[in-house]
Amino acid sequence: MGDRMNFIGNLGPLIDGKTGEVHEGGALKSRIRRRAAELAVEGILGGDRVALAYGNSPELLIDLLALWERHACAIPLDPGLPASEVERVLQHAEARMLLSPGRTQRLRDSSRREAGEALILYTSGTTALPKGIVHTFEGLASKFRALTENIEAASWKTVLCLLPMHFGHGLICNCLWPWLASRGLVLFPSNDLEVFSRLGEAVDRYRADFFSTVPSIWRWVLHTGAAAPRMKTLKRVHCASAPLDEPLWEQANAWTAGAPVVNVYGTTETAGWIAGTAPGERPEDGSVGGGWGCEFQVREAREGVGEVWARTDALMKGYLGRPEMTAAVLRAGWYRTGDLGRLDDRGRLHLRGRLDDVINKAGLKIYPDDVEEVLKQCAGVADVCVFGEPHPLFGEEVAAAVVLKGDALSRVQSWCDGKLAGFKIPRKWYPLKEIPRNERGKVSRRRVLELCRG
Amino acid sequence: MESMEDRLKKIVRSVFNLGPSGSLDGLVYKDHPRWDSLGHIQLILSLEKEFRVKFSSEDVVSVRTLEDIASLLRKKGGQAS
Repeated sequence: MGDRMNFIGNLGPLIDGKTGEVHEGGALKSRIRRRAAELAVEGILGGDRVALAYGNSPELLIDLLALWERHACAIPLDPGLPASEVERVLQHAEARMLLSPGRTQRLRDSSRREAGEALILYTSGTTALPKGIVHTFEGLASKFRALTENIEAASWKTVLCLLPMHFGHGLICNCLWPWLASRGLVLFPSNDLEVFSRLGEAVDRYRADFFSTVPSIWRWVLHTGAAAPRMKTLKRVHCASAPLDEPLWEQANAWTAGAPVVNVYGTTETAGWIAGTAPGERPEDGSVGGGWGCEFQVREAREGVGEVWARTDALMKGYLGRPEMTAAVLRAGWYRTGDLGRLDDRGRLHLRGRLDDVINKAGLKIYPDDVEEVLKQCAGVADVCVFGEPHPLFGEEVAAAVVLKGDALSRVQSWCDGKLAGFKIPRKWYPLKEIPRNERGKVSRRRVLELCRG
Repeated sequence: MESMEDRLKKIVRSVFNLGPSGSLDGLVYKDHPRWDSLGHIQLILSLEKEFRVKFSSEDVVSVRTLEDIASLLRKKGGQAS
C-alpha cells in the first residue's frame, strides 16, 4: 500500500460526507505536490516537525501528504484542544510550523530534525510532560502492508470515516490505509451525532463497503433507533479502541445485516490495529482474534492471564523526549501494552482489562494524573482523585472526588473550562472530607470509586 | 409542583455542571464548551430518565437550544409536560 517514497502514487478520491463534494485522486495528487512546493519555499526540510490543526477534512490529508513528500513529520492535533495544551505540544515537539484552515503560523526558524519520522500522535498534552508517540515512514509502510495482508479488502471501493482523524485508529487505519490504496474515502465531521443518527442513509448514499467504529457509536446508534442501511453494500465493519461486549456485538451484527462486525485490537503505540477476529466469528467478550502482522506473548500470567506484550514492525520509535517512559514499555523489540489478556491454544488473544487506571471514555483515553495535575492548580481544591466511573453509553465517564478549600464546587468546575479539553473535564463530582490513602500515602482509585458510589 | 421548564433547567445545570445559579442564557448545542456531542448524549440520557420519554434519532439532532427541548417535551406529553 505504499512505501516511504511513494505514498501518493495510488490515491483514491476524497468525498465530503456532508456536501457530497468529490476531490478526485489525480487532482489531489497535483494539489499535494503544489502544497509540498509551497512548504519547500517556506523552508520545510526533511525531518522538520509541522503541526496540523484541522478537523476531519481533505486539507488535513493534503497537508499531511505534502509534508511526507518533503520527508517532514506531521503532528495532527485535535482542533478542540485548549490553547494552553496546543502551546505545550508545539513547544514539546519543537514544531517549526502550525498549519490550520487558511492559516500558516511560523513558530521557529529551525528545529531539531530527525530523519525518518513521519507522524507524532499526542495522546496527552495536558501536563508538563506531554506524551507524543513517534512513528516512522518505515513503520507506517509496514502497517499498511500488514493490514493489506490480513484484511480482505480487494473488492472495496468506498470507505466512510466517522472517527477523529487526529488519532491513530481514525487516521492511520480507517483513512490512510484504504485511501492510499485507491479506495474512495468519505470524510464526516468526527463524532457527529447527526451522522450517527443517519448512518444507514450515509452507507446507502455512498454505497459504502466499510467503516470503523468505537463501541459507544454502536450504543448510540442502537439507543436512538437509527435506521439500518437498506442496500447491501457493506462488506465489513470494524470496532476498536474500547471493549466491545457480546450483546452489543450481536446487536451491531444485526444492524449491519450480513456485513460482519469485526472486533479489533490496537494501540496508538502500534499505529493502530494489530489483531482482529475472523469475519463471522461468534461474538465473545474480550475476544480480539489473531495478530495482524503482530506476535503476542502473555507474560507473568496467573491462571493464563497476564500482561500482553506485542511485537510488530509497525511499533512506535518511542515517546518523544521521554527516554525513561519509552524504556519502560519497549524491551528488545517487544511492547508492553498494559492490557491484561490470555492466549488460547490457537494463539488468539482474549483481553481481560487494563493494568493501569487510564480512563476510556467513548474510545478516548484520559490519564487521571493529567486531570489531577490541572485540578491541583485550582486554589479551591485541597486534594483530588480522578477516576473512571462506569457509564452506560461511553463505557466510562471521568469522575473526580475533591476536597474543597472553601470554594464552591461550581467555581472549581468552571475553572476547568479552557484548561482541559472538553472530554477530559470530569462530569461527575464527589465532594469528600478527605481522599482515602493507604499507609504509604498512595491513593487507590478503585477504592475512591467504591466510596463515591456508595 | 415543579414545572417542566424548571425540571429541564435543573437537569441542564446538573449535566453541564453549571451550579444552581449558573446562567442558562444563550446556551446552544456546540456553542458552549460543555455542550459538545458527548455532553449532548449525556443530556439526552438524563432527560429520558427524568421525563420517562424516548427520543428518536431525528429528535436527538433536531434540538439545539433549551427552547427546542422544552417544545419537544411538550409534544411528547405524558410525564414530560
